[in-house]
Amino acid sequence: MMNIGSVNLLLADDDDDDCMFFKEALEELPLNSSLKTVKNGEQLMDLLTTKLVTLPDILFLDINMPRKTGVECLSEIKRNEKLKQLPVIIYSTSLNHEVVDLLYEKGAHWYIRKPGDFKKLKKIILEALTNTVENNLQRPSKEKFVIQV
Amino acid sequence: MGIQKDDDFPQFLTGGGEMGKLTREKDWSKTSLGSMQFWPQSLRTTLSIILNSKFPMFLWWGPELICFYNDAYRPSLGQNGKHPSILGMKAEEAWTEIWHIIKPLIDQVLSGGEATWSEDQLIPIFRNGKIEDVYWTFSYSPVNDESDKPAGVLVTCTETTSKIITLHELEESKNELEFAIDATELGTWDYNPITNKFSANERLKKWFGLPSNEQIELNHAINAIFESDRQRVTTAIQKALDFSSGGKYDIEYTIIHPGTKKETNVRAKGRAWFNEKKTAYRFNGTLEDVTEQRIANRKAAQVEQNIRNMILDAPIGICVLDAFTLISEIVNDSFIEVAGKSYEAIAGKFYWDTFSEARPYYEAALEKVVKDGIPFYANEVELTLVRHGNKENVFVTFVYAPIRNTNGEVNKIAVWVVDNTQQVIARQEIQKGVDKLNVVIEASDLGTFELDLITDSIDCSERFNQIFGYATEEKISHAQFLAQLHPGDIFTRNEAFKKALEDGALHYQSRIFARNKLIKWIEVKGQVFFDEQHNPKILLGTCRDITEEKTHIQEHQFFSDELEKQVQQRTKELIESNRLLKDSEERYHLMVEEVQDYAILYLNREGIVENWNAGAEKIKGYKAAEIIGKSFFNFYTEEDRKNNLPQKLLKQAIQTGRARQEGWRVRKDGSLFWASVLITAVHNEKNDVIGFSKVTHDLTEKKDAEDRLKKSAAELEQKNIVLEKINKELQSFAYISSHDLQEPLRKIQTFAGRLLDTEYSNLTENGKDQFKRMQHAAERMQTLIDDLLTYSRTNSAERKYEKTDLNKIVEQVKAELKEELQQKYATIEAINLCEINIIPFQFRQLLHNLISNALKFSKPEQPPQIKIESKIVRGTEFKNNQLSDKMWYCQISISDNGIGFEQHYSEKIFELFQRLHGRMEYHGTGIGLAIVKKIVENHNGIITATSELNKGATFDIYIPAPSQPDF
Repeated sequence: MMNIGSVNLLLADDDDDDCMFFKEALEELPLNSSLKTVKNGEQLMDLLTTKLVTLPDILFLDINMPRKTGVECLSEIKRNEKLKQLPVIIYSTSLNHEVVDLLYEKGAHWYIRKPGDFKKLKKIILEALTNTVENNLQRPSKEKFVIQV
Repeated sequence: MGIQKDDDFPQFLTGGGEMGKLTREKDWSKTSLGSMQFWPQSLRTTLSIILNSKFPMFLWWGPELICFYNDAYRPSLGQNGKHPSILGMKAEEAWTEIWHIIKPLIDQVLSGGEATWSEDQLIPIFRNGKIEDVYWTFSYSPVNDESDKPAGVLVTCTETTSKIITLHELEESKNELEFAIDATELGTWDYNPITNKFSANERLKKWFGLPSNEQIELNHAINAIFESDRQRVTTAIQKALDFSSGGKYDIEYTIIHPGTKKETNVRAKGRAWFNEKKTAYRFNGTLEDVTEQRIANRKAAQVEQNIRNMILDAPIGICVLDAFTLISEIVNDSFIEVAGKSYEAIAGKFYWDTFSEARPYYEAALEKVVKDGIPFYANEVELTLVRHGNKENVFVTFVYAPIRNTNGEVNKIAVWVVDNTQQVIARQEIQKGVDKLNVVIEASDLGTFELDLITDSIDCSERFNQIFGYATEEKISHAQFLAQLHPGDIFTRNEAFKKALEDGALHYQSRIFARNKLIKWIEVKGQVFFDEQHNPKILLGTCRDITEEKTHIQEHQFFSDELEKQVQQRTKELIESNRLLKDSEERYHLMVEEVQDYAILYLNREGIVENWNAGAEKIKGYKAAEIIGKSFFNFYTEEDRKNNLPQKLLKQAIQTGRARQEGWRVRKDGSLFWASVLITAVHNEKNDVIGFSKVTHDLTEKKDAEDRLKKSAAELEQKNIVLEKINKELQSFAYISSHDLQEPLRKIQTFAGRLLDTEYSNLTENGKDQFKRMQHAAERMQTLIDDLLTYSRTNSAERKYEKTDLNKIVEQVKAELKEELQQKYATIEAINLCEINIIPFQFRQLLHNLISNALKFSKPEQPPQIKIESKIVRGTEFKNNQLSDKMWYCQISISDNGIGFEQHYSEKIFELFQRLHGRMEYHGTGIGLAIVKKIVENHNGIITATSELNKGATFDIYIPAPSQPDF
């Protein structure tokens, strides 16, 4: 059972600013968490499949990334016996319904749209983490897939 | 003396065989006779006779009766007996065992008596090591010596033992035979055909009532034979006496005792004996009393015949089988009939050979019956039998019944069988009939009833109750039913009843007040059943609800009246139009000739022009005189003629009645024109084609116009393709630009927000104000980009229709707008929302925008109330000329209680970037309703807005529904 008090997170996002916002938001949350970031899909998969000894508790995954997109990464993770249990929270600028549907089908846990407000960012990250832990890693129904704030 | 035997060989002993030799060699000096040389001549002569005789002889000589005998006598002494020791012995010593018998005889002879003769005298003697019973026929005769006194006794004898034994045996066997005959109670008879004498034993005589004389005339015996048998017996006797018959005689007949009249059945057996002349000299045999046997046989035969007759005549099929071989021994006609096989196929055959088709099913059962002796019953079983060579399904009841002999063993099996096929089929037919009747009754919606005319109790069917408006299981009395009769029809009903009680048949129609207060028409039919005294007992009947029929009949009457009226009217019109037609026919010819725009001509069967009108002259350039009598081929281009187009068109017209073609034709001056041609075959009454009418229209101008049109259409299409491409590019540009614009904007907003959080206190008042304005601008820009993005996404390429419950979409939108709804205490009422075929995410966008608008444009002092309803209705129901009358639509109305707008803006509000309010009053991009409209159009629907200022607004959306809803 994951402990929301000390949670190991991995963020895959090529945007430095967004990485910074995420890190700062996380730091301001009352959590004892650790965060690792990667800059593209290749790095992410390399890290997950070979480098990391211990898998992170939760992966935050951007969609538009160079070299390997978030959708491709999600597919690979869910196909991999060792990784398929890893909860994946999509973290993206856009909110295209078709893309949302596709990601749900491929096995993502939650979908977060990057907000234009820092307070909302904190709130949404906290909610995503809380949801994941409280649901005991179970996926929500499709209607609740996109977290609204 | 005795020593010189050889020298002194006595002549009288010459020859004499073995006994001669023994006599010679014996030392006689020791006997009382002394040496041979002293023997008297008489002895010598006698011995010479004895020893040379081949007849057995014995001699006793001298006072001591010394024994002599010859070779012929020797066998009588046997082996190991007196031979040869008694030679020279005294008689008394030699014959000790019989001395008491022979002594008197010898004495008698010696004392001067006559010679003795004894025949077959038993004189047992010792020989072969024992005393044997030996029979003799013998004679003792005296032999005198020289003094003429008897000096010896000569015995000549023959042993008759074997003869006597034979005789004894014969006697014994005769006794045995007689005993046997006696024991078997046979009569014996012997007839001499030569003397015609007849002898018989006592028993036979007793049967025949014959006198006990030794010899009887045959006729005497024949007379005792039963009259009807007499000739037969005589013939049989004559036949037996004929040598060629072999002499055998075996016959049964009846005799009657002449005295007691007792009848005896006898069986005579015998044979005739023939001499060399083949004449019968003896005819003998036995007679057996077979009366009891015959009676028993007759009884048994009668019993068996009775059983046989009983079986053969039985109406039940019976076949009796031998229990061990299962071979059919008796089979009757009924069985043959059920089996459907010939007598020959059953009788004397192995049962399972006959019924090989049933063998797999019943062989075990039959075996068990044989084994256990317990009958096997099969009741109305279905069997497939091969009957008269065909497979037939029959229903039979049969029994394998064991029959036991007197020892209680099962030795026969009786197969009893009855063919139930007819009964089973009849029963099935009856059941079918009953079922059918029930079906008919049910189908006919007939209520049925049974009225006991004595107790007035009524028993009715469920349907009957229904007709009167009761629950199906309710028990209603006759009086209750009668009370429901329409007062106006009570008389009719009572009359019908009165009549029914007289002649049995009930039939009437009447109105009733059904329980639900409806007036119904019913038709009642029934039959009264009477008892023996012709008192009405029961009424059985049916009741039918004929309300609809009655109504129909009325309607029908009205309809036929109307029809008749119309027929009259039409007839009148027809007469009128016929008259007009006649006039018009005349006018027609004139008209055709005057027609200017069409060339109308008539061709004969070969395509030769026969008449010509003004239009033809105008179009083709020929005057009538120039072209009549010439072929219509002239109007075709050289190429068409080469391809036999004119002939083909005529052929087509003959085959199908008409030929239509468009193409270039040649005028008299050689110029071409584009013609539309219709050639129609003209038939006579016999339906033969006699010619063609040809109508030609000059379409040159039309053709030119069409050609131009085609050209511009092609150009247009080309332009369209280009436009579509540009459009697509624009769309993707709009999408990409707005999407990518979001990213930096979002960061501007976030950084601004961070600055405000962390550095706000360091700003001047003016700076703070400007900072806030910047933030607002960024927010507006974000909304604008979001809306643009949505708008650009809402293109028709992403159509993916799904059957969707509108309630579900409303719920989703409610969730999306949860905060706003709570903030404004808004309520959304969804009424009667249906399922329709839509693009779900677009529709969500649509509802989102409309509900957002309703919230945004709500009255500040009043909580927004939003009502969403839908229904599926035909296009005609809506007063909107954009909707097709033939189609079904789903109408979705979204209304609110907000500020509304002036009705004249109802179209403008849907245009892109159109806003009715200043940005400071109600912020927005002016894209929302444009998106709504675009989505509706994507669904091939229309949207209208109805409002009055401050009185709320209603948006009506009409989406085509595939068909009427399922009610």
